[in-house]
Amino acid sequence: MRAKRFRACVSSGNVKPQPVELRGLANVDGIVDRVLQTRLGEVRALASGLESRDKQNLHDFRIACKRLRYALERFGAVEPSLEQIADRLALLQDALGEAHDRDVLLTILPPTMPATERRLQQERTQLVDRADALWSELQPMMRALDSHRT
Amino acid sequence: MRTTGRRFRSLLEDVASIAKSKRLRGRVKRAAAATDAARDATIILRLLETSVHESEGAMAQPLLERLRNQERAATRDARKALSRMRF
Repeated sequence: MRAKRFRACVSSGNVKPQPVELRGLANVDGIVDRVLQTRLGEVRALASGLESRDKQNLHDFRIACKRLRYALERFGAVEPSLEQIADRLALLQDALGEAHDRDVLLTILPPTMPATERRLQQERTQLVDRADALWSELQPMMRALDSHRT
Repeated sequence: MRTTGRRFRSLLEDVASIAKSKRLRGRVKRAAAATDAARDATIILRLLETSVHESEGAMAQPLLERLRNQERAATRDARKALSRMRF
């Protein structure tokens, strides 16, 4: 039963990536722009997970951050400034990943371990706080990304 | 391998409208997914080992043991699954 819960928590509810329409684009800038705007849109749409703090919403937001980060890293060769945003996103993603690990462990932790549970919940709160702060710090960079590329 | 696979999958997803790669995406996805259980068991085991409250060490032993077994089995399964995959 616990193993079932563990697997369900780890693998549930992946948000599918939004398709990126690249047909008709004739140059690299256009492709970079379209991919980044699509992935940035996904991240923004799921950022409410930081407010709700719900584990599935946070997980979906983290996955969207990962897709954006991979795109930013990929295009870093075209535009090196993108790598700086990717580095900050990686920190945000790490904090959310560690919070997710605690969520998974909390689902299988025996009820006979309340002190450990409190510790894990406290750490989770701190990690989500950290992710929230990193997200706020990222906003000027995201706006710059918008205005630069549109 | 896992991270490289995910990056590659992300690239394939981004260019899917101009480069059809459904089968390749499926394979890359399955390759990364084959390592999921091993990764999860390892991470959760390490986290539990470092998080157990001093007063609850004994209570954690059955779960630690279960996670160790899960880690061993999942790593063995991942190795087997990956060795069978062809791209």
